[in-house]
Amino acid sequence: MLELRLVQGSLLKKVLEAIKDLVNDANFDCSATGFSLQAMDSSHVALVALLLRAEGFEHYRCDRNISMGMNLGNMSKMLKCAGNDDIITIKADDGSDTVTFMFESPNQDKIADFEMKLMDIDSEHLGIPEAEYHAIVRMPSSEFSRICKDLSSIGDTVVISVTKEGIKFSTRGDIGTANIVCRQNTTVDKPEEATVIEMNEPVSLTFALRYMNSFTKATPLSNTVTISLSSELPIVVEYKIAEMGYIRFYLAPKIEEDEDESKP
Amino acid sequence: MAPAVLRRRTQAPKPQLQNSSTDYVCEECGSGGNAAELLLCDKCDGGYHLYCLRPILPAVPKGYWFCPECSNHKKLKRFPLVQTKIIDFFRIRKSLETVEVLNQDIRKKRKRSTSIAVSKKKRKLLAFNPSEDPSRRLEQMASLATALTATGTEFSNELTYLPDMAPRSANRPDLEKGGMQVLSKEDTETLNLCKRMMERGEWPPLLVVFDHKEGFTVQADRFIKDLTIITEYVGDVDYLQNRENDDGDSMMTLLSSSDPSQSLVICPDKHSNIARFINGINNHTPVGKKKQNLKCVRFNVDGECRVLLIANRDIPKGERLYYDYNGSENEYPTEHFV
Repeated sequence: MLELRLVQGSLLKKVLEAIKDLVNDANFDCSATGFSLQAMDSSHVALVALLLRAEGFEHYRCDRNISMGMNLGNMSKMLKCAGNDDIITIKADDGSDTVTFMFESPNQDKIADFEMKLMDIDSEHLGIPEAEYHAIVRMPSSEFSRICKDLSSIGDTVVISVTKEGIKFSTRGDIGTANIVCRQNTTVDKPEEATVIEMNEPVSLTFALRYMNSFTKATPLSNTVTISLSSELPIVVEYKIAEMGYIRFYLAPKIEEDEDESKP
Repeated sequence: MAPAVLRRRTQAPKPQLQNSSTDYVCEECGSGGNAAELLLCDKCDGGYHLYCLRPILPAVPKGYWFCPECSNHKKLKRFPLVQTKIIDFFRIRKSLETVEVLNQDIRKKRKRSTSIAVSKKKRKLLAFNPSEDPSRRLEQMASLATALTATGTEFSNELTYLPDMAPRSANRPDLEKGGMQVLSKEDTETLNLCKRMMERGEWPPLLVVFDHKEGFTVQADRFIKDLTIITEYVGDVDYLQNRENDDGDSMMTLLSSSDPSQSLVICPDKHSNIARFINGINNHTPVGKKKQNLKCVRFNVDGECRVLLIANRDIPKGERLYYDYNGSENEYPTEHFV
């Protein structure tokens, strides 16, 4: 028996908007610790990892660890029917092959319930090791989103480099090149407008912009975004979900190797 | 200029216990053994075993040879950049807790397609199935472009007859010792279909990759059925006699005549297609033969000899392509092939 009640239903709406274009079908895993999801996009170049901790829900009941396979496009259609202020409850009975979304308006005079069929999705979880990143940058999410959008009008890959000068985003295309540098800036009115750069080692990697632009769909979830880079690892773009958890996007870099890379 | 001859340690081993300083050892493995295959750099005199080099060299080059350091190996620039995958970095984790799947529906989302067994008795050749995704096709073409650029070869999908080599009229299947099998009308149609597909940009689903040990090699980018025509082996057609001293390691017999002055070979060093990058099996190990998934066959097509590479079993996606370089003559040294 599964019953999760989330007062700030808009969070779930925004989460689905952020991931439905990247991943079509995925398993939502419910355990005692929380409601999570880990899925790769169809090209296996990007990975999204979502966590909504049990403590963030007003009511969290999950008797057994279960995995619910859902088509994210369909789930998003249902969630769009919820108002931004609605309280969303997710329910599923043992042995059932459907999940129910219930939306209650804040003054409780309108209640809607939507039932969706679950899917059987074969997926394996990837182990994401805890790593020390060469550079971690925290910046306003709207600025990052704007940078990705602007650069994609020039080229289709972006080179992200972190040096002591700051974080630089570069691209090149048919019409020319573009470089955007963001320097560390902590003297701002609000802490969420600061750009904080923690660099252990300079790092420079190349990524496909179209995935970056998919990731920035999660901008409504948080004022800040944390970007972690390391030369032998995928980039991590993380948006914290207020008091509940996070949504992390991992993107594999584009490289110029002429040797097979093989991890032992 | 003294030609680069392999200086062997052929002096009968004198029972000298001390190593003289002129003994050559391989820079890679440190051993001085196998002197017959210990190549010496014409610039720095460094020694390298043929099989210690990366990529492995099949035989002692006839001309000058310079070791990797002296030849200033440029890092291969891929065109375009290679997109890595998430699974290259993160491994699949076995879940620690048993996860009960809520949906009890046992019908799997994906239907299992039954593979159609092609009866070996039907000898009909099949045309290749190009990749459907245009971006995959672009990647395949780019990989071939990278390889051709790196080897300084121009692309050509037909046998070429250059003025100072053999003329087209020399390509006569009737000169073949023992006769040459004629490609049936149906199969000729299939071959022509393949050629037309290539002209339209529909290429066979093959990807050229650079392997650390093997050098350039070709792998299937899509499932390939048994008896599919992969490609034709093309290049400049020349008389075998003109090429006796040629160092090229990709020459392919086109016509084997009882009169050696009429025998022809295909030389893909200046003009070629993907065929020259397909590697050969190691004829000297039992496991080498198992790798073979293509066969190289010569046919009389409309009165001309042509060489076709044809799948001789079903090839799954991602599998590297290999055929037997030594179809009949056993002249190609393959002991050090992988």
